[in-house]
Amino acid sequence: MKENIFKSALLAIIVLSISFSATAQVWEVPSDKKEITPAITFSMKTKTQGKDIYAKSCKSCHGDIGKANFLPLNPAPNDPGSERFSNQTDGELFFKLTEGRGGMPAFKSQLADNERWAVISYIRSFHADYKPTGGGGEIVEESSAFTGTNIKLFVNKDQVNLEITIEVQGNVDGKTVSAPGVRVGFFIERNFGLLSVCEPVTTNKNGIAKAKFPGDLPGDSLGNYNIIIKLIDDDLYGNVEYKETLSWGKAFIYENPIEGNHLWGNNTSVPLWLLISYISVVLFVLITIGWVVLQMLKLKKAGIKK
Amino acid sequence: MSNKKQDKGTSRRDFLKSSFLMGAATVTGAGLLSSFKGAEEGSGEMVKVMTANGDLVEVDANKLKAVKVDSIDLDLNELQKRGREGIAGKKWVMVIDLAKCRNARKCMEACQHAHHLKPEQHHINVLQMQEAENTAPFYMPKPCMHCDNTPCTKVCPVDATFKRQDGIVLIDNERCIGCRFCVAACPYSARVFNWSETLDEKNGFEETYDIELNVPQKKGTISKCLFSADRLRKDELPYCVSSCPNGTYWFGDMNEDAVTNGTTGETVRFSELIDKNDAYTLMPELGTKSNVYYLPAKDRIFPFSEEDKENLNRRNEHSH
Repeated sequence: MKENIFKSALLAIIVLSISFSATAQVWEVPSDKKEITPAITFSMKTKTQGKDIYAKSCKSCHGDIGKANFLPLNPAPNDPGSERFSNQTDGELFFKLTEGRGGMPAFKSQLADNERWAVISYIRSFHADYKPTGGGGEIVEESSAFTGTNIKLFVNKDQVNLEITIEVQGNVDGKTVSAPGVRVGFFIERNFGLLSVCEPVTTNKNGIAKAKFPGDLPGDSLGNYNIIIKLIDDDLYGNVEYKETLSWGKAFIYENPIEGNHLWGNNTSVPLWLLISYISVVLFVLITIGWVVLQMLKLKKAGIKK
Repeated sequence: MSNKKQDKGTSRRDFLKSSFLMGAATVTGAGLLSSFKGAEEGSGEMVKVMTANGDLVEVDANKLKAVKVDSIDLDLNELQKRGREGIAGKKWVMVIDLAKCRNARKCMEACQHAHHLKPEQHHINVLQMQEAENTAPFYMPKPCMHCDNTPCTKVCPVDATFKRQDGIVLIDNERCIGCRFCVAACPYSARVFNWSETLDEKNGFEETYDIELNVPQKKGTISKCLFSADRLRKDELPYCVSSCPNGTYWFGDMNEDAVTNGTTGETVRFSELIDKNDAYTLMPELGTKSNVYYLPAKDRIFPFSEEDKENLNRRNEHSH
């Protein structure tokens, strides 16, 4: 009986503590901050800007928007495409992005106001029934994004200036036309990932984008590095990329840093000066001891004679 | 004592169980083989076999042959040899962005899990730092600095700890005599000593010793941060780097002048990152030539926890 009372008390405590922690998890936003409206006009431009920032600073925890593949943390970061986010005002999202809490960083020190609003404009593009608040929050849909299919890249290299010009072409209504408004990324392959040569370049009205490659980046012993040019918005165009090995880099001649004699080397690679001085010190000590012993023996002998 | 007895009991039971299973396996294996042999002389009936890809195929029973399975694992000598040599052409470097660390300690968890360390043993440790009374406190992960001018390997009397060509400083349990000279020599306190029975010894973990993972750990020997040499061999980022949820770590090859963020996967030029953010190394005055760089804790994205602040204050008061 006593045990039962104890058990039920324990249960009550657990239930209470869980409900308390649940209420503690509600993230209250001050009412004046809730009413804040966007400082920028949401547009395709801010959306793409937000998309790039999202990929860099948010995706590692929140995952791809709409795919609910966020990290299983406690409290859960949740999917920004979900209702939990779409139900909040612009001001609430901005406040949380700015101030952070627990595992959510305070981005006020890392991103400028406009950058934080750009991220919100990107998140809002996933909220189907989003009604812009205030004057600035209107999503201006521009039809600048190229809608053709079967996209191809044509690459033109300028060996002197280390510049690559690419022309993007795609099929629209069965005709091959140049593709404007397509974002292209220029990369160099490295050990653990792709190094961007520059910010993504948007093709001009002739479907042309240009980027300069660095001449001072170490390549292999001949200065070769692998370049990769690909379309950034692979959700729109699929995985379109171009790879080539170019000898535009700085030749890197590898020298084995532990070859030869070093202080940190093992017995076989001791520096010669260390070996000589060590052996001479040891010899000096041994000879001195030997000389002292010899002198003592001589002394003893002399004592016995007399 | 009674515990020991119990252990013995269970292990005997386990042994009996496993030997029974092995016996059963041998019998069935032999049976299968003999049936194949029989088929070779016999009618040539079709047998259903599953391939390595998981496809079910039919093969003529005459064509079946017993396969001798080679051990995929390398033996000790090969592991030791490649561990000593290192990876040619690389020079690994780590950059730790102190502005991003919030003491989540996921790096430590991943590291201790990979290297079979006890909770109090750290290859990497997140410290709470405050330079002076009125300066802002910050969190600082501290792995081995993998110095180019190593104080530790110079003092090892048995060549157990050494530097490889890719810059990593490793420890060889097979040679270590437990003198702990290297512990005394290291100015960064990067080394831990297995004072008591290790987890591997407790759990009876008897894999071949991999010098690049330093597992199984051995009582009476040194253990230290290895820059996850086993992962680098597979072109993967170290355990700590890839487990950080906050983008604190950058890791890469200095010879390529590129480092990759373990959280976001973003790759940047090492020289630019170092230059733009005023990176520094720990205790440069000792001339150790560290390969771990720190970016100052400026514009931190997480506040220093109030609880830790109080602890720091208390510690400071005690030290006065």
